[in-house]
Amino acid sequence: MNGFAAGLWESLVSGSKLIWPQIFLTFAATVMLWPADLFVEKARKHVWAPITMVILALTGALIYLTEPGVGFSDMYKVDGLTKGFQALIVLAAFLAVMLSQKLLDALREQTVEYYALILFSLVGMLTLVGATDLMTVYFSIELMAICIYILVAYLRDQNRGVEAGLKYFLLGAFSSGILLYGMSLVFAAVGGVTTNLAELNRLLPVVPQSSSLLVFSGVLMVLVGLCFKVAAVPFHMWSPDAYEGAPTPITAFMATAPKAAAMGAFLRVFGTGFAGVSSDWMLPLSYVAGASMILGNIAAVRQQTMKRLLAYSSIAHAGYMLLGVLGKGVDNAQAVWLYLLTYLVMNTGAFAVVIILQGKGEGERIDDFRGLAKRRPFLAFAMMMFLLSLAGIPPLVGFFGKFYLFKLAVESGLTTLVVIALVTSAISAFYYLGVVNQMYFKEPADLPEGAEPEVLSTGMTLIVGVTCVLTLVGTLAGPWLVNTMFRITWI
Amino acid sequence: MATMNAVLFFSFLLFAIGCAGMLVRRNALVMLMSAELMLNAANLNLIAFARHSGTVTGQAFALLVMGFAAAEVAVGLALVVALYRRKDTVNADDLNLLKG
Amino acid sequence: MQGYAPILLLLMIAVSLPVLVWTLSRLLRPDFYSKAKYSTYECGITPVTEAREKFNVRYYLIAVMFLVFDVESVFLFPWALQMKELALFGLVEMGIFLFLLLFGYGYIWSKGALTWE
Repeated sequence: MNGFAAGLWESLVSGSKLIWPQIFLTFAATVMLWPADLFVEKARKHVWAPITMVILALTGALIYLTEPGVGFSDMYKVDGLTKGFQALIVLAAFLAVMLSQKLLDALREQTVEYYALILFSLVGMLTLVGATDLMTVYFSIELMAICIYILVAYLRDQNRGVEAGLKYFLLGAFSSGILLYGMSLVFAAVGGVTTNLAELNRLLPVVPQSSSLLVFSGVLMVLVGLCFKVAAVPFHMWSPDAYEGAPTPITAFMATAPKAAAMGAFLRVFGTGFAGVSSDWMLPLSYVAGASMILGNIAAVRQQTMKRLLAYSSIAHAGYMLLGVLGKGVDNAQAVWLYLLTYLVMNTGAFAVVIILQGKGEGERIDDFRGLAKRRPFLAFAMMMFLLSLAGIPPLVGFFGKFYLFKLAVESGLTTLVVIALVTSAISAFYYLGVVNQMYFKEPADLPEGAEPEVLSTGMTLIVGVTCVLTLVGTLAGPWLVNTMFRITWI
Repeated sequence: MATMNAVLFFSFLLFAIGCAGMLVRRNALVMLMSAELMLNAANLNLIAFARHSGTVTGQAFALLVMGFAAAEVAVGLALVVALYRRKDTVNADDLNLLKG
Repeated sequence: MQGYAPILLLLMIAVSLPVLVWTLSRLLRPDFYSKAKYSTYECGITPVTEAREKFNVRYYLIAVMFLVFDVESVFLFPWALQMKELALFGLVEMGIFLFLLLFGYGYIWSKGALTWE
């Protein structure tokens, strides 16, 4: 073996230690698709769910065991930020798989592809949060997005599913075009020598005057592309439609995992790569953040269906999280992580309740929640906790995340935006409490005679119960959470 | 440097045509083609500037983009076919079930 | 500009050749028209349907699969250019890449996407 090949071999061997979770996931999902699926009868496809959960648990363990380091010519890096966000993403996928069981069984739509696609999209997300090169950022975003386009259109026998999938796809393709063009402009601005974020951070502030327009437009286009992925106003149009048309567990997944991955990329690209030219993107991004909070919360007020309401609320939450990106420091990234963790808990819980009600053909419309407290007190109580927590009412866990994020934002001098965030949080309480009002103070709609409340499946009860308890007393784990949070670093 | 400006101008033109196609045309297949045009505009920049600086990063990036563009088109076409089977149309304006 | 002279020459030959062939054939051929000569295939076979026909949706399926496998071969080119330097390592890497593609092939085969009916 000559020197060149030997060098590559060495870099591959040392680099592969960093991406064991991804290698394992790719291998597992590929074997699941073919040939393993050939040996599973059509009626028994649901066995893939527990297998997927085991795979996800093993991936979690691999993430925990991965040693921090840099590899693949500085294109990928494992550090506190990577590991923290990876853990969030795997947890979100695990919950999504648990949520999927009831719905897929009811629709007789259990297939191996569903689980394999979740795993493949996970490979993209796990790589995205550790990406330290524009090339890695681009390909992991694409890998994640392409799988999710298919998952959104998974129920292809429903017009809504296909329509949502195609809409999401067209806007997603548009956004990735903008993102990539922005990257190519940044690459051009530094004279075509590097796409590495650390290198860019060194080179971008010192480009000649003649290239400053390239830097500005390139950074702005990357910003637009990433804003599409986190569904921030004015690049949010796809999200309510995709959320409504997708199978509900996938909606729950989309609201958490890709959002966490895109936030991780946001923090790293803008926090480390474009930090030197922050004067170019601070102002546009603060407008985007403000607009997301305002428009997301106001549009949510007039929604009639629960999934769209949660979609608009997730747009607003993306706005809050962008405060952390604007703050630029490592401590702000930690706050975003904490926020995402609390958001994951309460959001999954809320979607679990929607899925349980959906099993009986209701739960889509907000009217379906009328009088829920009389019919199913436990579900109504849990839903109330999730909604209050989403609104950020103390002492629930949502307040904890919000408080920390806003406090750091004030310290970073983003006072105006924090004021907007507080005012819009108050608006959000209005529509969340509207649902609570429906559940507790309205008479139930006429139910057909003898409609017995169906027995909850163990998995769903477990999810609702656990997330509800976490929402209620999560704040007590505050010191531990904050301690964990301090390990989210990018140095 | 004059050549590089020409490259930038040309790629911007391509990008603008792609963008305009995405925004103006309502046929899903044409929109798909426009998205490809946007990616190719970026590819042009990447390859030209990689050659300009004599490094390979940009070229590798462009190869990667080509691979992903193919995967994206495959998924897009599959979605368009699925839509056509259900609704007998590939017009984006007929996607009107989801609103609000 | 020196290096481009052969290309210019090639261009001139390429343009003049069809002109030459056309002119020659126009001069040499007999002018003899009939009704069959004007039909689509110029030999008497009558066309049965419109030329612009809707393709079966299966063609698109095959086309999509072809597209993916075809474009993945783009990654073979850099390897082929650097084959000597990459030596055995490159060969094994490419083997792994093609092996993974084989999984995809097995998958679509077992799904029955390759059978026409």
